[in-house]
Amino acid sequence: MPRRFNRRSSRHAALTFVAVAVGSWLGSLGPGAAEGPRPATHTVVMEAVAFQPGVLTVKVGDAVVWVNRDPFPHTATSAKFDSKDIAPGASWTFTAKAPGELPYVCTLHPTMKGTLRVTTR
Amino acid sequence: MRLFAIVTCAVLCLVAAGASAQSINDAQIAHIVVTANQVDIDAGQLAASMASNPEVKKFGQQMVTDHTGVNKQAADLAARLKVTPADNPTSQSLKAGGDKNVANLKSLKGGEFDKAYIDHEIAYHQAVLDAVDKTLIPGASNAELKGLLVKVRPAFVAHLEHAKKIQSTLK
Repeated sequence: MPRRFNRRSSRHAALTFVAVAVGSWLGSLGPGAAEGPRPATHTVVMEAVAFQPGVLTVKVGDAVVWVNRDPFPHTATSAKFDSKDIAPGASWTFTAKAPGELPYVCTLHPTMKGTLRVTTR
Repeated sequence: MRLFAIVTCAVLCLVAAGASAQSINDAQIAHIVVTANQVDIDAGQLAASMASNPEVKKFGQQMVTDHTGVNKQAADLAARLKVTPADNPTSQSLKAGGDKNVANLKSLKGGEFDKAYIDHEIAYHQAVLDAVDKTLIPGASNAELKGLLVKVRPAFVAHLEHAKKIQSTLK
């Protein structure tokens, strides 16, 4: 009885190993395989006084990088994060820690608005 | 309203008189862009040091930062395109209007200064936007110069909205 259990257990372990290997191979295919366990990195471009994309959906643990392509500073500011001034050509990264909808603005340019949606992994 | 009419005329009447949308050239447009930014930098520098309301002070400093950034981009583009900005009646009128505004602001203090500066910023940004839409963008023949104008236009809109928001708190 214990031997049979062990054999089944090692077979289970082997299958688990294969599943994990396939899973990480799929995960390595890049951001397209968003269902994978690896956190992804998303980019929001700040250009012509607008956030592009204006609405971005990410999963908990994903990183969001705001890149300023305008010739003057911008901020990405919400109730949960505040980049402070991002200089021209500079960027700022925020890692989403909890699910929720986070509307944000550039405090320097009130017409510049965006939304970050964070969903569970 | 009177202020808006005066500033609008300073920008638009001379654009119309000096160079119509058809005849204005890229060298003149480049000069108008640089002058329009410089005029707002000069007023912003004054507000950054003389304003009493902290929001007005901050706005003045931001005008210096933003318009300096735009001017650097415009100067870089002009150099790359080998366009030498050419002085013209519109630039001269913008400069004269800016100098007059600064002289008037220097005679004011406290709340009066803050209100006069913000009122003028609103009228000025509105007038420049009108010139950008009716004369400068339609008149630009180089695609990159046109692109620069299209790209910086939203900044002027944001400044206008920001100034209006501050104005509503000054009353």
